[in-house]
Amino acid sequence: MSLLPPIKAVEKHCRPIFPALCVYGAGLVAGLWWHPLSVFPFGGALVLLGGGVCLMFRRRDRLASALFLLAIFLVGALFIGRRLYPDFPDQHIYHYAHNRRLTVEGCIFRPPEFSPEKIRLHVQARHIWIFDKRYPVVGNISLTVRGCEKQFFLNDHIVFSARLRRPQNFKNPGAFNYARWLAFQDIYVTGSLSGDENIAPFGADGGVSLPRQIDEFRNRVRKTIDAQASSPSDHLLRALILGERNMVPDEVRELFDRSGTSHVLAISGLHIGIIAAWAYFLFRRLLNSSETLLLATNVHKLSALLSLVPILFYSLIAGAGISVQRSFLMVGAYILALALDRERDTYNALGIAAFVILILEPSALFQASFQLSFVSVLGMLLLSPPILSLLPQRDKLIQNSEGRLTRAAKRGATLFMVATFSATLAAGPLVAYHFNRVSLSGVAANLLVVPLIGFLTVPLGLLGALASPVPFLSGLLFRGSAHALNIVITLTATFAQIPWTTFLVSTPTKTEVLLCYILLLAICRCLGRRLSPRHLFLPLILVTIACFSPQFFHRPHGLSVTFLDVGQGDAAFVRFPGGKTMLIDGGGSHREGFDTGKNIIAPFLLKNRIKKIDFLVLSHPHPDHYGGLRYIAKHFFVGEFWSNGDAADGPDFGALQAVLEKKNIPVRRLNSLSPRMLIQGVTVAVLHPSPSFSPRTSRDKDGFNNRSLVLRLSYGDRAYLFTGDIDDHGEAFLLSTGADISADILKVPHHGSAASNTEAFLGRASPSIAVCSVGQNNAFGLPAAETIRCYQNHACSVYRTDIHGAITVATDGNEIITRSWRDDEERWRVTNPAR
Amino acid sequence: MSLSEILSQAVDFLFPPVCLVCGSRETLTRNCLMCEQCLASVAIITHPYCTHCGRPFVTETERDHLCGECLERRSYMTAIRALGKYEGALETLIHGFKYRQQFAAKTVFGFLLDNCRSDDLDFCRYDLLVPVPLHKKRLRERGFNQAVVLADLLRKKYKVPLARAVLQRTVYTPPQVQLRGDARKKNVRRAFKASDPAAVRNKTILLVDDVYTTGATMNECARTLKQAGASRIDGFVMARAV
Repeated sequence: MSLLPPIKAVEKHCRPIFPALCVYGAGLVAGLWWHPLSVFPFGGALVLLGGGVCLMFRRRDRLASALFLLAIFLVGALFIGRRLYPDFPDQHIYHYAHNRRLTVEGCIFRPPEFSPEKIRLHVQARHIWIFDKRYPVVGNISLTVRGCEKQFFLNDHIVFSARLRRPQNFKNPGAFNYARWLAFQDIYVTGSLSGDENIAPFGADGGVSLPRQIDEFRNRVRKTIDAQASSPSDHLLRALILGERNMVPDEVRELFDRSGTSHVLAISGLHIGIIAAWAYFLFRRLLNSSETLLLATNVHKLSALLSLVPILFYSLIAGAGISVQRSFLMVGAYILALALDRERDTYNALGIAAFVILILEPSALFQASFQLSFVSVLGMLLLSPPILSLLPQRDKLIQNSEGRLTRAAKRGATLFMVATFSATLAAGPLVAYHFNRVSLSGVAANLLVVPLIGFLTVPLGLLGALASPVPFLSGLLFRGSAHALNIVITLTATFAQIPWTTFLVSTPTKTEVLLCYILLLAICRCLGRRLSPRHLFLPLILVTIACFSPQFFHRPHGLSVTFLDVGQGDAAFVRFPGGKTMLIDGGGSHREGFDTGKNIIAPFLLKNRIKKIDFLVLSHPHPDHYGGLRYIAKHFFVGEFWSNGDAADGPDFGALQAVLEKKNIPVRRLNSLSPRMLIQGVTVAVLHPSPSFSPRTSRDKDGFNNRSLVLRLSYGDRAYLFTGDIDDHGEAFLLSTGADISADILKVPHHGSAASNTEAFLGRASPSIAVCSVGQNNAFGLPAAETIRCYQNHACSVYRTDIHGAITVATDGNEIITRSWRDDEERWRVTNPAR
Repeated sequence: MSLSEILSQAVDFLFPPVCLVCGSRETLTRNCLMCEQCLASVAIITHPYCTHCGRPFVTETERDHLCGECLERRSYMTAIRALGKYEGALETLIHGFKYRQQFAAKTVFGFLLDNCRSDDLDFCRYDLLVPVPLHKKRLRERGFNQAVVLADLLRKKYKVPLARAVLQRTVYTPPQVQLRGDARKKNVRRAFKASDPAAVRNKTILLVDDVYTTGATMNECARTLKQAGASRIDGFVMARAV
């Protein structure tokens, strides 16, 4: 033997996808602020892209790469920009959405999304009816349907009559940007309706297609599950098999949240991956039985490729939503790497999956689920090897000797534990950022919950779905699956009960999250002996500074009050000069499933690093004031609860009282005889109600409004007056008592109702700033125009939460500084072409 | 650019190759999945070597001749040739291939076969390629037979028919790796069976395996084939222990 003349064709391969992915991601982020369409037409970017690609094939030089990357950047910015800064054509449904009832014809373009109380349909509008005339329209509508027994399928042609709105955000710092989230999905109009009579499906649009058949099949599975399993395991099963995770009841979701296992509720790469692994081993077993196949082909690769079929089935039956598509792509990329013998470099496969996902769904970059899936997988890949190398028994070469099975099992268990640990660790900072939660029991709970879900529930459930033509078998499988789920629920409940394992954490800043990851990477490199431990020093110091500096540098001085935008309702957050906190009312929504405490107040507080409310104040027990307080009382440290002693009927108020009782929060009943309090230099006086006051009037049936707690907070030369919902009757009484109601800042009584805000009251209070807490387009027409005029006549500047968003009025005892959300946070608005 | 070239470029773009031995992504040799350094450490067996068993001699000035062992020992094979020494990169590669499911090693084997010239082994003159079989049980565990994979590469290159199942291992024996010297011979004694004697009768056969250590396994195979009527049997292995 001899080697042929030396081979000179030597190449260097990098991971080409990474620079492209990074630049594309940067483009997507840039698109949030900058819309290149005005400067650069879409076609231009494509031409640039094509040119770059051609050049790259011909000559691999800097110019080609630069051109290519620039084009990718522009495409990224365009993808986001065209959603956030849309240019609506004339007949776009957006121009018709004025909070009025309209009859619309359209087609359901996404599988219906189910929640316990409602169905959400995504409708592509085709026509609208105005005075019996049909006009063509374009654009998508997110339609919420309540109290409707009819069935809807993908591609259904429907006619409905609903109130159409342009989605609005609650304008608070730290709030979820709902309008942006919808805009990313190309939806700029929402609608809601209830009752069977307002909506009618007219069968499949354009014949029966495969997607529709899949949707009908899913409906059969849905029915079987509902028939076979009992609550809450049926809802969980629907979440795990059909991808309907909104079906999971809040209390069950909370168990999973607290035990750090909530990620299993959303179908992710974990589920798809486990199913792929199952399928692989089954196919491998099956193919192994044929010796001819073993000798003629590579059964390993063949089984890997075949396992694509079951995961495709799972993805389709799970509704093929965005997160499912993503998981399918991730697992698919890995399987492809296996089939092409290139599994040694999985990072690139991961990068490709990310790239494809971000091209199909650019906004995924800003979604918690996308970020979490990739960070956990990266964590597993990066952190597992160094952790494994730390463990005492290094895995030895697998040899065919006795005890192979036990050794394999041991090795598998270790790998699984280390992988879970790495993934949990890696996801930690992002979980804290998005969900304000750190769960220490997460690793332990996952070790039990993930195998149960992955090896019992999901496979059995999927088999059940597959067997749905045979109802008996299918029912049996679903019942088995539900039994496994019951064990899971019990487990999570047990873990959730362990004290001191789950913490509500304040929202870290983006810089802090980034620093955490730098530190994690540095530690991982250290363990992998690529860095010496002294390199850990710098990141450690940086993280420490970042975590503790806000406490030293951002400590606000003086008294500051933030009136939050909670829609139609009241909520004001007070920060005393020494850092004590008070929350006066918590807003409340009549909408089912929307908790102002959870969705508005808690994010605001956590963003401002507040976890303790020293004084939780309820002015009067109406739902638009106490609604959000239950969540705050339950999840935050609360010092005292203040109220006027009134209690409302009904389960919601009962729930608040139950929480107060359970957490042993002292309740103080206040009235005008209560002594003044001095809290960190602020005098808090209760002016109303007086025990002798009889509140009932024809307008105020239960008397709650007029018995509202009226608080006056004075600090230095300045004073705030919180008036709750008193009307002219209460105002007159307050004036007659001769109490000092003069104030610089006034919370306008009763959301600016014309029945309150009498001239005499205003004259005595003589505020310079009036804050009106109202919801946009509220049904009561508040605030009344004459009230606003009245305040303006008194040379008082009026702030409204529906217009200005959250309003912060701070004082050092002399100077008053006012800032509203609109001034500094209005980063995004759907541009409204004037028509 | 041909279609297959574009395809392979696309694959390289999506899943960039790394050196199978050291994991480096620098200086990869084209179509090979091995870096320059690792490729250089593959010890190709050159003259002088034993004319029978192919064992390389240390001194380079000698002519080819029979080695001491072959003078004493009788073998059923006429000549055995190996591509390289079972050491360094080649050993790592074969190990990864057999025990760590690194199928990509097949590409490297293909590359080595393409780029090595054998001056006294003419593959084209054989009637049949016969890989050393694995026992069914071992085959199931591993999912493939490395000897079949190698023989398949030769079949594609030299268009010689390949008999995947003509020889069978009927007795499950412990792996030879754990045994020494004579124990190996005993271990594989009567472990094989020619399932289809008609297919090998009067044929010139090339027996293919991955590694040659003492030759016990290959020799037993050759004996079985001889008994079934094969006229001449030569051996070819990827690597040979020295």
